[in-house]
Amino acid sequence: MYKMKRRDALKAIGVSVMASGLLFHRCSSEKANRVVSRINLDLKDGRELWERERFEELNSYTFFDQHEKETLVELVDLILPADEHSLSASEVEVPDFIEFIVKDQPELQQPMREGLKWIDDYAKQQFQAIFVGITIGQKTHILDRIAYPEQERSELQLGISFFTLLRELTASGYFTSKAGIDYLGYVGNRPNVWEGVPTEILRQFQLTHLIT
Amino acid sequence: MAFNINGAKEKYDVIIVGSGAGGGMSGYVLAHAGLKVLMLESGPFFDPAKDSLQLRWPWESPRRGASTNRAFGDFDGAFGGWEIEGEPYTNTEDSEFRWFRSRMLGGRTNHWGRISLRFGPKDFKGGSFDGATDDWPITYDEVKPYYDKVDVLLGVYGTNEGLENDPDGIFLKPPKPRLHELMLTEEAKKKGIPVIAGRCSVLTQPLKNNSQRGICFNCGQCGRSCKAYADFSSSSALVIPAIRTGNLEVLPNSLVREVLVDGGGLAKGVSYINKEDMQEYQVYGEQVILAASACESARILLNSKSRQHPQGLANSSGVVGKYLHDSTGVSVSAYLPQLKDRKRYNEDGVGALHIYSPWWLDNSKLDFPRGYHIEYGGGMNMPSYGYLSDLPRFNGALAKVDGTVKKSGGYGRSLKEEYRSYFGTKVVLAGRGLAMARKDNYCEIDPNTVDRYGIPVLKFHYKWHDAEIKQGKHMQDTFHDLFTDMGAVITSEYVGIERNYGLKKPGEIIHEVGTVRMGDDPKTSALNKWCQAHDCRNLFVVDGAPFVQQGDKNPTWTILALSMRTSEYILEQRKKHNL
Ligand SMILES: Cc1cc2nc3c(=O)[nH]c(=O)nc-3n(C[C@H](O)[C@H](O)[C@H](O)COP(=O)(O)OP(=O)(O)OC[C@H]3O[C@@H](n4cnc5c(N)ncnc54)[C@H](O)[C@@H]3O)c2cc1C
Ligand code: SF4
Repeated sequence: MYKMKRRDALKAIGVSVMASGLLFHRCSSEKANRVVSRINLDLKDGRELWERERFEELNSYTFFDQHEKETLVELVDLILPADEHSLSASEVEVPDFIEFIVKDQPELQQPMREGLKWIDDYAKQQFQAIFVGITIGQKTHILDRIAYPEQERSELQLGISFFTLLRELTASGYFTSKAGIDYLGYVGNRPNVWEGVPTEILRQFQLTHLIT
Repeated sequence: MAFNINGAKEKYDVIIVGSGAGGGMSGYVLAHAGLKVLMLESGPFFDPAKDSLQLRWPWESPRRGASTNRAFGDFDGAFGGWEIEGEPYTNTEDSEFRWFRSRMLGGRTNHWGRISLRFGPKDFKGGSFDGATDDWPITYDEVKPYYDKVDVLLGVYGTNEGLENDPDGIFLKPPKPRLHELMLTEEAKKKGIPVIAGRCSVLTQPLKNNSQRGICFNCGQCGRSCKAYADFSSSSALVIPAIRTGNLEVLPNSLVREVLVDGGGLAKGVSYINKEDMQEYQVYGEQVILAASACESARILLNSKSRQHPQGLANSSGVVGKYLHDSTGVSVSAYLPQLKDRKRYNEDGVGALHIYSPWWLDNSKLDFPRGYHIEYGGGMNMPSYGYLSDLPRFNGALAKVDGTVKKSGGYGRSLKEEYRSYFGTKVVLAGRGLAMARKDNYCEIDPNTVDRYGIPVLKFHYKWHDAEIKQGKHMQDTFHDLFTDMGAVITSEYVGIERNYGLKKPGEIIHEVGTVRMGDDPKTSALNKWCQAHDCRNLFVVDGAPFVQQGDKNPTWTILALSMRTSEYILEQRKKHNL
């Protein structure tokens, strides 16, 4: 009985009974795949509705302006540059990842924005030009002063914390990209048969007495 | 605006609230016995085969797996989390209890660590051994047949060791240890710490008489819930098979407010909010089984006030909400420099413990009761958000191991190479131990706060005492010693007494139990030894709430065994017309 009423209730709020998929009643011969009762609370591609909505919302605006973005591109490539065998951070779209993550975790916005401003101010103070406008030698001169936190220069504290944060985000973005994972040499995330540590590795670590 | 339907014609044999470990098992047993069962679940329907994000790569998440949306990462199998929007809970000033809730079919078992330890004889009767805690009204021998049946029905791997308080089981073959696990084992053994195969509910071999569930293919991602149904999740291993009998109906997105009683004070059904239309409904059954998780079941009972049960249902003793206890936890992490530049191969293995250490010491020489077990983590895991985020703080110390002098930090090619060199070198030791059930650690209804559905919420009072804090110190010291002696670079700061030696906050180990405890005496317990309410014979509780006192063992295998035992008892009592 309550089901009829429930239908009425649904109608009252303008949801069609078919769409609501009220197939969830007793159905002795029905299979589990028919067991679905969802209106707007369903999962799509394994995600809840609010997750999908949030994703769209975060993508609906841009946080960093053009100049900030350009500065980021230079900085992340100084942190993780290309080499003979691997791409640079900007080549695997780390700046785009950082753009997303500061919207996802708004507490990162202020430190990132202030840090980018700090680095321009510091460049101007030292070399009379903003960061993207100075030479590579001048850039590394600045980084050398903020990339080693133990040095404790209080007047550079803002720069040091900014660089620490940016380095973490850059590593996060890089080593979770396809190219970054190939660079690390991670070979899992696929069906496998785990049979224990390969014998040659046990030998390398003098653990052969553990061969079973 | 409530939309109550009275006199609904359909009456179920049994109504179950919640579809996690406890509710899933009960639904499975009762539906297979032919009872007509209605299960109300506050979250969405979740079928791991379809809805799990297993085998996704980090770049398939715009946040690269960060835990902004989901507490254990963007691909994780636990919806909900430490905070749920619109469904708050509160703490008194000096209490910091944290409550993890998963709202979805299968509850927290879609994510859980699958560590499936039986409680031992001394866990049920600990008080009789050392007087530190209360005894259960039941013994290990009474529960053993159910542990055995759960092992066979759901599958658990491990090894029989003949240990007195870590009983053997009916085990599938365990996965072999990984490299770092062997190294940690060697070091632990030097210190007299035993290390044995993990005991976890993952199908490393086919399950007898069960063609629905696949075998583990070693992706290491059980936390996302297995699409092949090779790990135990209540959704895939209990609820969905129970639906297939045709006897179990599930109402997802249906949040129970209270248990309804008849004039004689017996349970007659429940009222719930349908989250799809935000209306309130009532459904009726001959028995009502609560399995909404320990704290939520206590909340439902305390909110079920009636003329017949003015203090809340099953609460004439006043113990509902009391004796809340979690496990203790301390974790210490380190880099193992000896693993630097290690050869790459696929060691994903099983997404649960390959090895662990059961509690090994003699308490007569210690300043705290009983103890903890150790869980071992690490390996060449799939990189995710936060990849080696602490490396730039420790690369100086790591270089020193190689005999070079270097400032921590850096950038550029050399840093990039370090990120690669130290891939798969990080390890963690985690202790999980006895937390004592105390009357003064409890939850109650907060008179000032309701959730978005207008239902009063819980307020927590929970503090660690001397017993837990001293045990925490022992864990932290043991882990630091072990790492130091093997030349590891420890990344966890040594925490002093001002922060309880690194003890996690109450609730953070997510083993909360004890809030509707069982006992022989109706004055000091809410349920009898069959998890049946002293005050209301057709009301049962089958999650962690009935626990009198847990040991250092994770609770879920015991929840499953007790839920099966109670469900069989219900069948028996129904036959005898005793309910
Ligand atoms: C990160 C993590 C790791 C863990 N690892 C382990 C481990 O290795 N070993 C171990 O033994 N345990 C572990 N646990 C704990 C384990 O998950 C729980 O012990 C177990 O899931 C408890 O089962 P339950 O049925 O009591 O509750 P849950 O699994 O929480 O299920 C309760 C269900 O009830 C529903 N519900 C709640 N309120 C209502 C309401 N008002 N109306 C309707 N439905 C409601 C919820 O949506 C949920 O689906 C872990 C937990 C987490 C989160
Ligand atoms: S490790 Fe095995 S059981 Fe766990 S999710 Fe992967 S395949 Fe499934």
